[in-house]
Amino acid sequence: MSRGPGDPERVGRLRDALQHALMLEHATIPAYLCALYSIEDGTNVEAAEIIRSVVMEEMLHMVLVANVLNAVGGEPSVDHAGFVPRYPTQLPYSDGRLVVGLRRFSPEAVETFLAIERPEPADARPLVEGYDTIGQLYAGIELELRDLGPDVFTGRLDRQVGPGRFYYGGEGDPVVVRDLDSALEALEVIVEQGEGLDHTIHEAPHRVGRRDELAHYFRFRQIAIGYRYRDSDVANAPPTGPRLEVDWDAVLPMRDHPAVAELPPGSEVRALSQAFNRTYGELLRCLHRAFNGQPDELIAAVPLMYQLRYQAVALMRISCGSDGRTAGPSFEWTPPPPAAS
Amino acid sequence: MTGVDCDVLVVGAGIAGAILARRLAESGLDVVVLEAGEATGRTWAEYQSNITAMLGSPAKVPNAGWPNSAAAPSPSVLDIRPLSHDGPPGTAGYFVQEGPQPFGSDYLRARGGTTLHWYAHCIRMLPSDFAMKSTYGVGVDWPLTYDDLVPWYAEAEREIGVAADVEDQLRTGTPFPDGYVYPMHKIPPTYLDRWLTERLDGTPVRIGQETYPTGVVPVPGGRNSIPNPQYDGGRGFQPVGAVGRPTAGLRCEGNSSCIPGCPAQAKYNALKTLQLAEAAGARVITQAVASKVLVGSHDEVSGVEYLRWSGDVFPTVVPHTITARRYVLAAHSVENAKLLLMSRAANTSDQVGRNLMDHPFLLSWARTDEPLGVFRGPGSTAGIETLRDGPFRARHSSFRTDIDNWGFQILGSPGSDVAAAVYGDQLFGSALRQRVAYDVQRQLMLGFLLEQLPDPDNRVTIKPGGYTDALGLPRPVVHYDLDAWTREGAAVARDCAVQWFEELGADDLTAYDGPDRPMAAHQQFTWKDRPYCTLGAGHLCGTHRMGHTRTDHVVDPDQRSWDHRNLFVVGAGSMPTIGTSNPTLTLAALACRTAAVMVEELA
Amino acid sequence: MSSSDLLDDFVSLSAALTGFSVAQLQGTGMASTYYAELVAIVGDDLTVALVREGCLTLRWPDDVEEQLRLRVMEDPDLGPLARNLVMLWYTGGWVQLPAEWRDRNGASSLDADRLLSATSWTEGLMWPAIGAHPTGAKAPGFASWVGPPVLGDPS
Repeated sequence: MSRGPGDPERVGRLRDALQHALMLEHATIPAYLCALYSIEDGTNVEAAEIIRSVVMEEMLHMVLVANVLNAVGGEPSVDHAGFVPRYPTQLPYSDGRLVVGLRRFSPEAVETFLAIERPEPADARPLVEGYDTIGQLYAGIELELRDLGPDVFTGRLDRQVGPGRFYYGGEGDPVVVRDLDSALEALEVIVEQGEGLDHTIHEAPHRVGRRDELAHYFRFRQIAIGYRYRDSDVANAPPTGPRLEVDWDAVLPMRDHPAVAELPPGSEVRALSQAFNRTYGELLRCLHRAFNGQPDELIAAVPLMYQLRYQAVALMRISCGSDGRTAGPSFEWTPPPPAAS
Repeated sequence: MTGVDCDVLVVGAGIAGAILARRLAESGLDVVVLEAGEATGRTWAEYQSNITAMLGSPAKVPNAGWPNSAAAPSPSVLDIRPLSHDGPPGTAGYFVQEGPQPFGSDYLRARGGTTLHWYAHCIRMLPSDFAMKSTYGVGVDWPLTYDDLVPWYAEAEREIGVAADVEDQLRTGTPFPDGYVYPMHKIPPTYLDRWLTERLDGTPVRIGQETYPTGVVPVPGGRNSIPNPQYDGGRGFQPVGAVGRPTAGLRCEGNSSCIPGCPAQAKYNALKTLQLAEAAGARVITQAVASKVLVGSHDEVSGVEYLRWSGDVFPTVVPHTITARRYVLAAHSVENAKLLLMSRAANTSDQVGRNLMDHPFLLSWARTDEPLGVFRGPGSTAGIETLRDGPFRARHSSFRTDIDNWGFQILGSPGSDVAAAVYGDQLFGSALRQRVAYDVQRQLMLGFLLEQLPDPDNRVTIKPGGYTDALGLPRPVVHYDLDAWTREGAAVARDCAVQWFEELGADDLTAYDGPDRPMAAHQQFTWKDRPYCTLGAGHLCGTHRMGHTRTDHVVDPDQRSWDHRNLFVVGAGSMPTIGTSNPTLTLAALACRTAAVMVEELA
Repeated sequence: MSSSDLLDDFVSLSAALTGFSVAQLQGTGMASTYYAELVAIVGDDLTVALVREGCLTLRWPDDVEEQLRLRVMEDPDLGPLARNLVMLWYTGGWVQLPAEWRDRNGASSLDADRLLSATSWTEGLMWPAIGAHPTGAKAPGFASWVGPPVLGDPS
């Protein structure tokens, strides 16, 4: 491996890898949200809380990746057409086997979530390109950061999203990235929240007194199996805690992988579906501004996130087609509306 | 510890009781809290069941959705009726209203208390509020000054978690120590706040011969906002979320339902402090109505009798007695007074139950010509706060002015607007939709909190053998009126509203009699040939006031009973004057101060 | 007429009466609840009569409001029912029918002033009509109250 903190091609590949990580962290969020929103209000409270907590942490992951990318002089890009996958989509890891779609809360959806979050085998090689798992991607990024040296951290500090501004109702604050240590800390949070620490079921607590939390994979496992984990449980054994009740019928019958194109042109439901996508587009533009020098824009993102839910649930109550299923949010990227004259 | 059941017995699991229980338990003392009402909010699901009940209540009054029972009844504003001169007392519900004016406020007997449905305005009293007699020749002086309470206000603001920026608050005339920082930044002002600021802030308003500046100032709120990183010497502040679901409620999310209840628990409620008290070992016993304070030898309190009840409509009870080294009554102004009167305790001053004060709430409302963005956000995020003090207080009450973010909700909007359009104007379809949108969006509602002076004849008393509740305990009998000082204040407040509406070019719709008057405003009076009507603000003060002597005061400046040295009587009842600020922050500060005294003495 | 056709017609009529679109009404999830409520209070015949008569007017798309007024709103039996239906959609609550109507058509114990449920409160149309949200539910998020109100049809 050649050393050279100033090697622009290498730094460019690192930034590309981080941009790709940003896309990957985002790509599963619409899938999780469809499952979450489809749960009938007031039912499946524990399962809904689990999915919601994972979504909040994925959003934190986006912020952390953006912070690392900004720290190495990159410019996160969120508001372009290629950022949002077309669902159902093959995630570019797990050998192309992993297809993620927009589905209502169901055993199949939860199985998909488990596959997304599955911890990687201990011997996977870190790779910045050609990786099979997201864990390899982050390990590859970590190696590059170590190798490229402190001079790679050329980004402006005022582009960092710090604590207090980013509010997501979860635990932990975004790490302000300014050097190798803070970059590694940020990446560590992502990996441990997803897969777990050293093949246990837990994330490591990052702050004194913070409640010990399960890694995402194990949170979803509780829903699939119908029992909670105890703190003392281990990764390769089933959970031994209390029952986690799931009512698979208390779910809005959203059709799989909704798309605007499937809805009758000129129909009201199509207009509502497009309205959802406009809100979603506004949210992405808001995130884009937040990651590119205007961190306070994250405050404006909050009402947009709330609106997404209400618009999605309304769609999920509207029948379309004759199969008893309903419409749903399609999370299709929309370009910004023309500026008002 | 021998011979007693616990170190400290606290009656009442509202904010005052919770603050004391937490501090005493954390100092290592064995604390038991008796709560007359039912539990709620021990888990997220338990709390949400009350929220769902609230959403399904047709009348969204403050107690809607919260526990109520025949064994621990709470007063309800729905039971208030106008009283006629020389007519019989109003006996609907829990209070017995002797008049001349009905007492208009309620409170909640439940675990968590009235903070379950408060507005969460956290406003400090002004220095002259503590010295009304020496400054204006009316009312009385406190045995404490504003300066005495400064560190305790800060502690209360931390306990509750108050969102405000000091630069704004200095405009109210409240002194703050240099460099004081609130735990969280102010709640972002609403569109309406900014709309009014642009048009009214700084404009002169006439009161009598003087003009004053109209100051539109954010109101400090006990609800979660963006933490201020400079708080606590740069250590910052961690907002406290919902009990049982700590990731909920970390920011106000705009449920627009502070009253009757905050679904997210972004707004402070005493459950949050009780949670900490219990974590430190305090035991809370609910459905436990204190029925007697026992006084033994040497005028010491020797125990508290209580009734543990079951069955919310036809209760059965099991009596108990509990003993402690110290006793604290924290059941709020009316219940504290009722319990002491029932027990014939702590009352050589004859002031228990007397000097009851509220903030008579006077509404003025108008229609603007532009949409205001109403029915969004907390109930009120700003007020007109520059008229709370002045030489006029020698002649009439002052007031603070709530800017209401919820339009004419208190008059029944938006449902009443829909009804008027549908049944009155026979509208339907898009014409109806546009009419409702147009009318409701232009609703400007101002609410004036008028001061009252302590009056021994404004009182809570009991009639043993007379009116009783399902447990056979006496119901509070209230005698209440608004004096000339307050009525003149109402007239002045009304006149200010007229001036502001004129300045705004808004259509004044205010009516204090006739069919358009607010149906909830049962306090009706005439002043200088004009009709007025007011409601209660939910503030109850004065019934066991503090002072330097036992002659005219129930408790000393530490809220310790003058008559029984092992008894503390805490809460808004200890306040000798009410000022114009919502009393919760002040009663919380006093509770923090009393807790420190007790810890010093006992731990 | 099948019951699902009847329900569809009920929603179409409700859309015309409330000024909201069929999709928006379906999005509340309340259509079948309100239909059932109407049947429970005034019976099948009157409910079907309201729906049929109301939907006839939809054949004159350029003149729906006038036709509705003539055929439904000013009808002594259907008018009060239609107005109550509008109130139900807007507020989630039922208003007791006028005394004269009850004299002619009968009085049900369900015909009383009431809020149907927490859900009917939450799904009331008056909230989106005024550019807001039901108080106590569908919170719009921190700082959402800062900007100017958004009125009019979001779609």
